[in-house]
Amino acid sequence: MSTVLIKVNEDECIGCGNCLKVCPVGVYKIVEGRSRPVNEDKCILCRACITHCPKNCIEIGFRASPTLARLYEE
Amino acid sequence: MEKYNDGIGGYMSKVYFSSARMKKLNASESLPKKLPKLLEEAGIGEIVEKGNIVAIKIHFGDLEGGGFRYVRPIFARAVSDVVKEHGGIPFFTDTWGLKHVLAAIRNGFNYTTLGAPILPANGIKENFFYTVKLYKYFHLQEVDVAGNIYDADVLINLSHVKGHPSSGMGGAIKNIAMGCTSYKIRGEVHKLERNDNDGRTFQEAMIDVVKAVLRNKVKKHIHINAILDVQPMCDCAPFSDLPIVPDIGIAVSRDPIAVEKFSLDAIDQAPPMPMSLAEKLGLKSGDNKFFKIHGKNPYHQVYAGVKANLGSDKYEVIEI
Repeated sequence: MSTVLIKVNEDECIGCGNCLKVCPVGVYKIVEGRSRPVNEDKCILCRACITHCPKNCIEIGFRASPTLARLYEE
Repeated sequence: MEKYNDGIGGYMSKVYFSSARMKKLNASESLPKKLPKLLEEAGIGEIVEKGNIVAIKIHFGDLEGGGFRYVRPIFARAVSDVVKEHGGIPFFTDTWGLKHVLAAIRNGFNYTTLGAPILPANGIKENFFYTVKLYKYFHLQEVDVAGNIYDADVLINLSHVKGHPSSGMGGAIKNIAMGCTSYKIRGEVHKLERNDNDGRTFQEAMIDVVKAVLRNKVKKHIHINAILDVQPMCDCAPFSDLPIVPDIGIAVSRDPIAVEKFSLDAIDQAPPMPMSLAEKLGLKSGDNKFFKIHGKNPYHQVYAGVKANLGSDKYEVIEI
């Protein structure tokens, strides 16, 4: 199962760094003036980045644990 | 199943329960009509006093608009109506700031449907909280309690019982532990997941949060577990799969641990839902279903709650 998780709309992102500041596990990094989820695997789905994003340009999907992901494989 | 403090919670707590299965073909047998009776029997009249501001903690659903098995607004409305009958001033609340309030409105929770306002539990960007220090704790000495929950005179914990990848199951305990705190504490609790494989540390940390949240609510809290649409995954996920067991009913208690244990026992005793993930896995009545699905043993939170003196794992069921 894929780990489709964090999408930052790069056209909207202003690189303010709020997501970096509030993320408890260091998912984000500013690359070329835009936020990029460089450690997506570390995300714990707390969604603090979404709450604090002034452009509302972060989306978080769902990452299944390996145990669960296996159950949905045919 | 490990038993690490059998006997500490040796008292029997009362759990008031109405089955989803109707015994008569009558409106009075349907759950939205039974919920007020459950609350009255469980002593809501002693908890809500005239003029009290009453926080009703519910899960508003996911932010992306894919999930649909959260608690239906009709049940939430029944709760706010009871609060108002007792002279209380209810409001509905959840975490994740103002953006979750917007998701709530989209998901059907608004003043028209609920008869009460909806507010973010801890401010528009989750920066409104009070820090509570615990003297006895498992992992968290200091816990941030969501400001609007802390300030409320009463907490009604209206939770949806379902699976959860970090704790096996989410119900009364998780509704408070993850939904009535700050994003910082939510992050700390989640980070503790990595301490073990079966979810014990995570669940113990959730109990620390519950203890902090209930600190200023002595005899001013009550817990409603909607054991309906028991989907494998949390309401925060942007999808909803078939429930793993048939609808069971609604349980109400002044003891958050007893109502949780009752809910887990009822789900484990139930047969698997045809065509569901539970059937695919070959789960049967008597299986620890959430453990088999998520690999996390959901009973840890119950026994940790007993150890923290938050309630009892033994209960007497009063069927309404």
